[in-house]
Amino acid sequence: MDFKRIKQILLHIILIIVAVGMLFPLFWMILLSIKEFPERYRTFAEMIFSPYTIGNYLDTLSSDIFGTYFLNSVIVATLVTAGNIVFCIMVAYVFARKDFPGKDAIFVSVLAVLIIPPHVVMIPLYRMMVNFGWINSYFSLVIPWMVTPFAIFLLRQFISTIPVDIEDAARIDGAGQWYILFRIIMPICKPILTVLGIYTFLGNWNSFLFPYLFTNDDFYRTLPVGLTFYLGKQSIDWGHLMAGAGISALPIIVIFIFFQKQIIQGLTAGALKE
Amino acid sequence: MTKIELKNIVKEYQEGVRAVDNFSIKADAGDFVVLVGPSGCGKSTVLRMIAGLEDITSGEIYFGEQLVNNLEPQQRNIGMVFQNYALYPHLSVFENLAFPLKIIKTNKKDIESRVKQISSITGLGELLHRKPKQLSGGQRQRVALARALIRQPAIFLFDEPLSNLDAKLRIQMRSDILDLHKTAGTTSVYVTHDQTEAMTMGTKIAVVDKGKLQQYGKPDEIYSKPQNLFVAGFLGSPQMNFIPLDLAEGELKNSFLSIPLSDLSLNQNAGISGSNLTGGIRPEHLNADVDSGIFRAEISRIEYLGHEQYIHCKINNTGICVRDNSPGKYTPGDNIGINFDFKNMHLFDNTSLRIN
Repeated sequence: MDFKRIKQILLHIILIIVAVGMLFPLFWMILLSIKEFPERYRTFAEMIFSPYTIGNYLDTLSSDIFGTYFLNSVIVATLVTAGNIVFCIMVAYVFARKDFPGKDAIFVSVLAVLIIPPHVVMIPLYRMMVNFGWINSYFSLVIPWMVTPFAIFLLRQFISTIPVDIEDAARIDGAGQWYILFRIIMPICKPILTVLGIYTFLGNWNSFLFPYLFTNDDFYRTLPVGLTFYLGKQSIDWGHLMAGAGISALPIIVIFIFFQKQIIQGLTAGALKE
Repeated sequence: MTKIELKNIVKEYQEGVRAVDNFSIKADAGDFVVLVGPSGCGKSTVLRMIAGLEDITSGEIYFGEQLVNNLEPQQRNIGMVFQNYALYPHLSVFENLAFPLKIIKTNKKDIESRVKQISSITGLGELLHRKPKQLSGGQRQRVALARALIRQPAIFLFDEPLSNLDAKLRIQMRSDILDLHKTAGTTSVYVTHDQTEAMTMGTKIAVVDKGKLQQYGKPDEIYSKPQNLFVAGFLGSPQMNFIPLDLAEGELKNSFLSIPLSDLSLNQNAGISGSNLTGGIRPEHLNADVDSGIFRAEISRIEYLGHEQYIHCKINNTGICVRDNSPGKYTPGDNIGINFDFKNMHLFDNTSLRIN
């Protein structure tokens, strides 16, 4: 066996170990979710060979409150994603194409926001939401996240690579500014908007801290927040918690399967555009 | 058919840079005006100001009798073809062509018949369902052309439309554009840096350099009577030979030439004075001879083109290029005699302006 082959085998072994490490929590979640009272088993083997059930899933799906959490997550993630696409493309377009005094300074300040960890603004933002009366409301879950510096930056970089001549041609053909933005620029940005949409949706679907801070009424809780309430004070209902987690992970898994290509593209975003 | 008039157009950028300086031309209805000049000379800026894509610092632009300075591009009734085609990449060829009509809310039936008509004129019939990226460069430019044509604009603008195409396709497209111009008769302004395109396509040529109009006229006028050294050197390939000359005792002289003023076709001898004059003579007006010549020079290089050749000589640091029809007769290193008719010589003063 030559050196190259040994290297390859070693590499594969390492990758397999890493993959198992990554997939184990997922496997554990599914295993626990299909057992009645999983906490009563003492050994792994005992658990594997005991009867399986989908009862936890049926219970979770039929519980009213879980449905509310799920719906809230869908509403919030969808609105935030739509907001990021529609509003950020407008801001990005202006930064990419228009000239006005102070443009560079404003753009740099937008970028600077990227550096600030969200947790730093936790308390000021909370105070703001309280003052607006937005605690326990969709407003606090949606509006602060509708325009993000990351999306502005990503789209601005992409729009800058689109030849200006295309817009000039459209202008001569009789198109106005809005028409050019939404009928010419936006469709051309489709690949990057897909990436942005997926990232934003996933990010919001999983978002925990701020929805947790801004809601204390079950009616407005999203899935990640709601699930924590399965952790009771004295005991934890593992079976139902894991079934809930499984259902909440489902959209993410589906998105990853269907949009793999775009997600990988997103990692190299900015460098794309044929 | 609309005439175009540019009156003292100026384009100044914030930093005080004048991209276009006091530019005035007049194009009659049906003219095909070519703006030609080296890259960065401001010719595209002039075109973009005509299109309304660029603001004018001062001056006036008229389409017919109408002042269009303050009209938006879409109000000017123009069609424009860009260097990089500027097709809408997400739309099919059909949708690209239909785009201008859709915006003015043409009904579906009319759009379809117009697209059909225009695509058959431009030979795009088979490609209507394709996306721009599935087309070759030539086909893309044809789509751009068709899209500009479809609204039947009063004025056509071309911004170096052929410079992304290969040489063979360029010649083909050149004649296609001229054919379209002949049928439609639309007043056109065409920007290029290619002098061959300028000479072959333009009914009028405007030579531009450093934002200023150097000369404006018919191709043959510009070629045979260049108004200054820039125009003389820019048009013609290989370029005109420039020979430094001084005026002394009624003769134009340098170390190897002396030409009696009376032998030049001059209007007014009084205008000529002093030194640092430049004589210009095109390669095709020079003859090489084995024995006799007005002056003799050594051959440094021969460019063989098949049907003819260009002999490059050197004499006292002055390069001279001679067109010759007898390939094989000379070899580099030969000393040859060079003859020419003094009447073919262009004379420029020390400010580079034409004298004769």
